[in-house]
Amino acid sequence: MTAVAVPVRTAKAPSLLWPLARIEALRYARHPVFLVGLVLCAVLSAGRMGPMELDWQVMPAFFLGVLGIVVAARLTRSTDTSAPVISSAPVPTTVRTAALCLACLVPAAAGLAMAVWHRLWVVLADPAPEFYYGTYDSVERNVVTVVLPVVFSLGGPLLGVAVGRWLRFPGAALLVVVVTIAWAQFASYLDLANPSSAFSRVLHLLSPYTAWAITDGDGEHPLTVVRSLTGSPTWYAVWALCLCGLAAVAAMWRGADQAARRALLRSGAALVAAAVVALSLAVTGGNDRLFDTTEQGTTPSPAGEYYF
Amino acid sequence: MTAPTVVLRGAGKSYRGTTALADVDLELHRGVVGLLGPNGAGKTTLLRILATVLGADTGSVRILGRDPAEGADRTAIRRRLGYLPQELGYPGGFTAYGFVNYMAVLKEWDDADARRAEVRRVLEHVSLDGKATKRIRALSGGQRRRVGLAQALLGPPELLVLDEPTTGLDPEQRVSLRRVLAEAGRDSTVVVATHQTEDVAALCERVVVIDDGRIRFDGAVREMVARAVGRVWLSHSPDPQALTSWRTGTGRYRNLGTAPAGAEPAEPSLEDAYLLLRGAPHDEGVAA
Repeated sequence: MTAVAVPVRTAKAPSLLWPLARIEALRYARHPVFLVGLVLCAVLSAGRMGPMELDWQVMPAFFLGVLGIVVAARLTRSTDTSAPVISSAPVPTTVRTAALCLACLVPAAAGLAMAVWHRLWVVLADPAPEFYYGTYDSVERNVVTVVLPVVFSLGGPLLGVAVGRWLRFPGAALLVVVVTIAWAQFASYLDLANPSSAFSRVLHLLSPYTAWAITDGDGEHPLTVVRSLTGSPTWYAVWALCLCGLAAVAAMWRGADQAARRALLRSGAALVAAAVVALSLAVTGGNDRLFDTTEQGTTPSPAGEYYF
Repeated sequence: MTAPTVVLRGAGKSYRGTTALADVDLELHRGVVGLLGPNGAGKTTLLRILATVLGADTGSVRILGRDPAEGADRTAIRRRLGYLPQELGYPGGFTAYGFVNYMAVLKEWDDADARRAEVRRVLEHVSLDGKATKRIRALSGGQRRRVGLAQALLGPPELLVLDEPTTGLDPEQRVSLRRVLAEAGRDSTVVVATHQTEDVAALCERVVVIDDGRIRFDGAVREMVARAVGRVWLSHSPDPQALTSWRTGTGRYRNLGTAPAGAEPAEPSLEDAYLLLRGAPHDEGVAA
């Protein structure tokens, strides 16, 4: 073979992961759906306009997490139009998917920023009465109001990458959004409908997005009663993190070669084991039934009263 | 003669029982090779095999001395390959620079400074340096095509595979492209599939004609044109016996085939030779 004066590049995949992840992160950060979600999350979290304290997690969970399913799926699918040239490049699909997964740190960082902003400028500036936090201790409060918003903001987009890699029909991401919301609603509804049922507790905690408190108020007070749901928020956060990892593994499985699949299989097995342990601890820890907390104190929630 | 960049022996490819490529023997060396053929002839299938996007069902394929069926070899080939497919879409939101930069990362340019310099070089090469920061969707069809060409030129590649690169380009851009490809062909093997015979005539040393998945001609451009000498005629009326005839801008008819009465011979072009080859029975065309 005649030598040609061309420097042959043999860069290892990990060294290419970061520049690729940087490009994908910028694409994520500039995506209109993400930007709209971010603005809505910030605006609706301001002051006492939106859900408060334990309820607040629904804001990043929906605007950054659930909408993130759409954003990430669209980013993943967007390169399909260039598939012929991309598939003739030496960097494997697994690395491209891993870069997309790393780009999901953008909404996670946004979720963290939102949580910190909410804590500093809303919660700490205008401290809520103790009963606003239901039955949860200080660690669990921080898990629900800071850690879970970040995990939810990360998990939705990671699920979106998996959706983009595996589901090729139009509207797949929207369908997953609808199913996710329906699942979360149904799981919370079951828990509320059966305040001391272990089965309802398991279903409630299996949901990738779940509420930890349902609140109610009256015309004079924004909040008069907090109904704390079942399970341990701390172990639920670990379970949700394991789901994030499993979503990334599922996404990277598509197009992976044999060697990559062996590594993914090992990671997936470890994550499944950790998820089972975390879910078990989430189910057995924390509240074993629903409790209502008011200024007067905490009492077990009445059965069947699931609409506030 | 240098060692071949591409060697195909009895290569074939079928899609659900339809043969796209049959028993193709081909050796490609450094230089620019034109690939001609009608729609559905198998050109794109052949180029996809060369670009390692598709594997051959039968026969053997060696590209840059390696076997693209082997994972590690395929990756090694891709490091030295540039490919512009017939239809190339672009992910939304990318600028011209952004997309070529993205492709440069995928082509393992991990050093940021070197990558930036290379992206600028190829964009300048296709005269898009002034449009680098424009979103691709805001570019014209020809400019978008040149973005695709720019990413193919990253490297620069030792094997450059281009499927109809002149689509959407105006005459000046086509001439400019010829210059770029001629330069690339000095050090690399450039394979250009096109319907534009004038591009092949102006640019390529060698032409391969493919039809029905089989190679009908493989040789020098001048050899192919020479086959049409004495078979192209100008007359005042169309010849019904001609393979084809059409009225030219001078008002005279150009006839391909046997000489009609009173006709005078015309100098054949590559297009004439191609049309004559297409009209000939299959076993007449293959070059020695």
